[in-house]
Amino acid sequence: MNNFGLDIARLGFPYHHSALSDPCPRVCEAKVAKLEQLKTIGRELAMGSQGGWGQTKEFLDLVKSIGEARSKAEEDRIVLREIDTLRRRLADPDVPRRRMKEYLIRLVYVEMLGHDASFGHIHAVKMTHDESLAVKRTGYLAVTLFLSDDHDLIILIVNTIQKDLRSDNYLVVSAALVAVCKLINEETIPAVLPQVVELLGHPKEAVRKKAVMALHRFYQRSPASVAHLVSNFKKKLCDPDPGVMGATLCPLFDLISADTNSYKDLIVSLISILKQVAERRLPKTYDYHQMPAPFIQIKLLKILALLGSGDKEASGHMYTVLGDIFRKAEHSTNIGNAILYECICCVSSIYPNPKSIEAAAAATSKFLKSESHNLKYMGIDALSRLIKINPDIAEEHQLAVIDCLEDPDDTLKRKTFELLYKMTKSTNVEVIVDRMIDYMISINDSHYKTEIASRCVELAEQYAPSNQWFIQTMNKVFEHAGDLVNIRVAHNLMRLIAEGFGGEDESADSQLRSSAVDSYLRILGEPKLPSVFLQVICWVLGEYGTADGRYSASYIIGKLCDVAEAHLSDDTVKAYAISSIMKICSFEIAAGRKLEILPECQSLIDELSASHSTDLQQRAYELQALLGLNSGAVEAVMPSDASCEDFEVDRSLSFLNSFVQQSIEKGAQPYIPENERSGIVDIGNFKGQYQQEASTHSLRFEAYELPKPSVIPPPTFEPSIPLSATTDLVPVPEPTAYTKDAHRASTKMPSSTDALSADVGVRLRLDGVQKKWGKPTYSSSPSASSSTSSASQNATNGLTHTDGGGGSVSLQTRETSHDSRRQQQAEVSAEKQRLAASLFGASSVAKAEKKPPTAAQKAPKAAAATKEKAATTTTTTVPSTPPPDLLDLGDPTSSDTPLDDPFKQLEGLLGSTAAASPGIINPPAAPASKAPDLMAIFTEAPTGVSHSSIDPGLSEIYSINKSSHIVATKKGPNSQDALQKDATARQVGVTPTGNNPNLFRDLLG
Amino acid sequence: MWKISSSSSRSQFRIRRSPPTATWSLRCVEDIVFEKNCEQERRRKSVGRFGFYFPTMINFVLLISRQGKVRLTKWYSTYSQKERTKVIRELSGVILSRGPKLCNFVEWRGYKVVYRRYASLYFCMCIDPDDNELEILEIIHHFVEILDRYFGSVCELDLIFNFHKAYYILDEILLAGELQESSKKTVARLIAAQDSLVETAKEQASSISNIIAQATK
Repeated sequence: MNNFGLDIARLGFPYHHSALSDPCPRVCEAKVAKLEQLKTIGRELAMGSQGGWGQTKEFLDLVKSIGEARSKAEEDRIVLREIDTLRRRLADPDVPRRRMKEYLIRLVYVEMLGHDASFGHIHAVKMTHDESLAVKRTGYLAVTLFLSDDHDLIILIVNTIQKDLRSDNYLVVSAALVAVCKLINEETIPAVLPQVVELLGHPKEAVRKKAVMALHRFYQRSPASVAHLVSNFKKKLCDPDPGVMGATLCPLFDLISADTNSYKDLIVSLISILKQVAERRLPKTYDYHQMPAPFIQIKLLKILALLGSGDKEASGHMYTVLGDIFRKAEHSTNIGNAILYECICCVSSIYPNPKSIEAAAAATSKFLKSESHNLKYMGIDALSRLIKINPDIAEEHQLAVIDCLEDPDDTLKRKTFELLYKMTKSTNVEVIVDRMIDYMISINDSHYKTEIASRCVELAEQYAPSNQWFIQTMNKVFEHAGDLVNIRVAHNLMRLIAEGFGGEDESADSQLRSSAVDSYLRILGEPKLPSVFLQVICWVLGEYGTADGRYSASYIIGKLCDVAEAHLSDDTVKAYAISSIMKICSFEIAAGRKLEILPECQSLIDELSASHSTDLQQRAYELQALLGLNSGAVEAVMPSDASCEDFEVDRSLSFLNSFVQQSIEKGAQPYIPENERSGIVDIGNFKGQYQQEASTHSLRFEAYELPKPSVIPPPTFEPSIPLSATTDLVPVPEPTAYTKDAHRASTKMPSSTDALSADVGVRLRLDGVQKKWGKPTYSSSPSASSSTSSASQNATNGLTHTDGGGGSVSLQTRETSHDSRRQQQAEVSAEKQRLAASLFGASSVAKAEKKPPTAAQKAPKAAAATKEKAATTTTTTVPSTPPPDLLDLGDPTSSDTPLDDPFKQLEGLLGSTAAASPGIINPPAAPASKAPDLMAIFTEAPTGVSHSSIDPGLSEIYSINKSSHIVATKKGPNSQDALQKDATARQVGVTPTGNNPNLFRDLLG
Repeated sequence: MWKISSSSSRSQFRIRRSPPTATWSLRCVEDIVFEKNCEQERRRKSVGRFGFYFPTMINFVLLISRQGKVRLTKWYSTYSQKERTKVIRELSGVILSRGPKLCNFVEWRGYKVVYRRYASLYFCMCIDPDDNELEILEIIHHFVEILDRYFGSVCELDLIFNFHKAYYILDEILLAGELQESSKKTVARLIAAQDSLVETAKEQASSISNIIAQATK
């Protein structure tokens, strides 16, 4: 395409040059005026036909106006207008192809902004048929962006793809292969598969590589289609081109993760490849930031982790190369750390080897000690992998973990919770779950809230040290995440309260129940309880509210009426409430006590009797009827505390058989099951058939079934009675949940034993838990707490000691406030120590006490940690100093680097041919000017501290500097380029000083 | 009759208590595991419209500006237009509000989004939760370096007006959600070849049409 605008710009440059280098200011002024003139001419020219980027004026205008749109509504208006235009233009039968190409790109743009451009999809498909590569390529691009693999238009492209795969131009083949990866679905794989396989032997490596990737995609869509090609993948592993080899690792990874055992023969060759890569045998072009082919290394490590998992012999081969990589990888670069992390993952997955675990632990501790949040995050993740092998590794990093837990960064916090979740034991469950709940309360993200709530429940159920604690924990979870918690959890809680703990000690159970009742009565006072929780409360109050005789029936009934009244719109809660009232009434009647119906209760019954919900109505009428019965009958209907008893339901209703027999004898019609009745459209069956057909997607060729003779079956009531499902303890009120659960129960029943046996991985360790559940408190807690407190005291002593020694020079000048602050810090650290002890078990503290040298090491470490903490707290108190992060210079709010008119910069640049480009982006300048500020602010604080707080930033800047320097030297006329671009931009009419100056900023600046 | 209905409503929490020990907790865990699987399944199904789940490494690539404007999107898993809009809205809310010193990773609906900021442009990639985040961070950087080499000190404006070229480049780096080429030189060579071929094709086309035009005169 003709870069007309750019040419204008180039023409402009010499002129600028001479103008700006002119020493005389007056001449310069005049020339600037001329320059303005020229600019407008240039802009007009650019607007005329083509802009600097090779698009028409219309397109540039579109992009520009969208860029300048002040609001989403305005943007939408512009886009809709554009859609209108495009629709009109595309409908025109003879659009020139070049134009068409641009229209398509505009369509892509429109769709990228979230609007529907489906009217143009067919044009994109048409363009793929075009002869010219340029047009075809655009067509393919648009098609891959527009269509998903289940789109109807795909079928129109398959033919073109087939043709293009046969093309002798490798670029056409590549373009077609890219489309294959995106568009070919399960049904169309056979149409292109042979050609793609053939392309594995294409002379161009780019094509071979893409063919491999396409096969990889086929495997993901339909594993069976590529199953016979496994040998081809293995062969491609030896491809002379490293790119093809690297690409082959993708399908191999998938294949191996599906079936590890059949690929054990690859271990040796994969290891040798890894070794060669690590020894820099690959071409230099695969180096990335001085690391040899890191992406290939990572992929190989992933595969090796799969292959070595649980295989001692296979793992044996890997230790040496892993050790090598550990040694060679650099901690200073991001990519080096990525490799290290992958190594740790690999080590934790394969058969453990002390030496490599040691190396992995060392790398992990480096991650955790790093200043970068990213690395801390990776460190936490690595730690959670390593503790699976050796739980002791975590101890060393107690403080680091707790720092992460208290970090303001949510991502890091969540990762840390994941780690804690994995290292929960019955000794630390209380601390961990409490923390989790605190965090759960503080967040809004419902997705994560659900997750963390279910984790809390899971941990509480597995490791609860006492019933009391369990119920309190569940209360908290329900209170704060009630509606997000699965209803099953609520049922489990009810079940727990009902069943007790299976011990012989009945008194403990009843104690548990009365404590539950107590806590629920207390909680009921709070507003806005979630529905699920209210259901639990109602149920428990109904069953056990009056069981211990401390609360009168009328009190409980009054409470339940309040609940029902307060939740008028929630039928489920009302149903629970009325059922509970019924239970309490019947207990009272059965016990022979006189029961007076409160007026509010009566009004509730009346109201519900007239309810629209038949379920509520039925319950209300039942209660009404129950109140009229004598105590014997009530006792039989509603036995006290019998919620756990087995309940036999006669599914076939056999007790009615004689009645049926009688009726038939009297000449009644026998019952015909629904599915055998003729003449009635069986909807259920129809649906089933329909689904089947939908899934097979093809015509049926077999003959229809012969019509069944209408034999009159023996009378049974079995299939059509829905009552049968109610035995499954599911709450009736919710029809959807009800059917679903019933369905699940029925589908699950046959395989429940399988499920049980398959679930060994998540099965509870009942041996330990059993002890915890009983009445005796768990043994180690008092001693543990005492030892932790003493340890923390020790620590604080040590801390104040060292701190006093270090800071004595400036002590006089310091105010008391500072002292108090320091005391606070000391307290914080004591707190932390305590937390650490409770999280990581008292054993570690005890160990520390036993081994004085380690303890001595630990104390200064703690001191250092608090010092750092102090530094960070002080930094956070100063609001106006943004951290000197170079990548952030673009922030419009805090950009203090003056962004003058780039043309002025241009003047400066072109005036003095010296390479100094003033202020376009001058990385070192900004931090240098900022650093003293920081120092000034922190003059009060010990200098060492402030240093340490700034250091990471500085080092980051240095590294960025370095890299940018490298880039700059590589790139050559860097600023020149930028200026040219700037000029073209201006001609197009986009001014950097306008809406968004950042548009012109070098991304890699 | 009455008895049946009343006891059935009461029996809602009667439990078949086959083994009388603490099996409840066992069942709970089982249930939770089941629920978890369901949840995962649901999540995966919501990704693929047919209920397939493609274990791609990268689910989508997103470029958003500081102002929340979309600069480039590439979806490797299937998302409907509606879902796409929603994803973009949610993610730009999350990512743009994050402070500079925090992790470059965000957990989002069970996935992880790795992002990196260059000047005023955020490059985001959504990956599965057990992938290597640092690697993705470097893939982003790899992409930016190649863009930089292609455009010559790339800036946001280049990507705005030449987004189709950015797409071509991305197609050479990532394919089917996986990194297909890690050599910058190879990618650059391929892109150059495509560009030059397009040019020559154009010249040829014009020359041929000229010839034809002359011949038919």
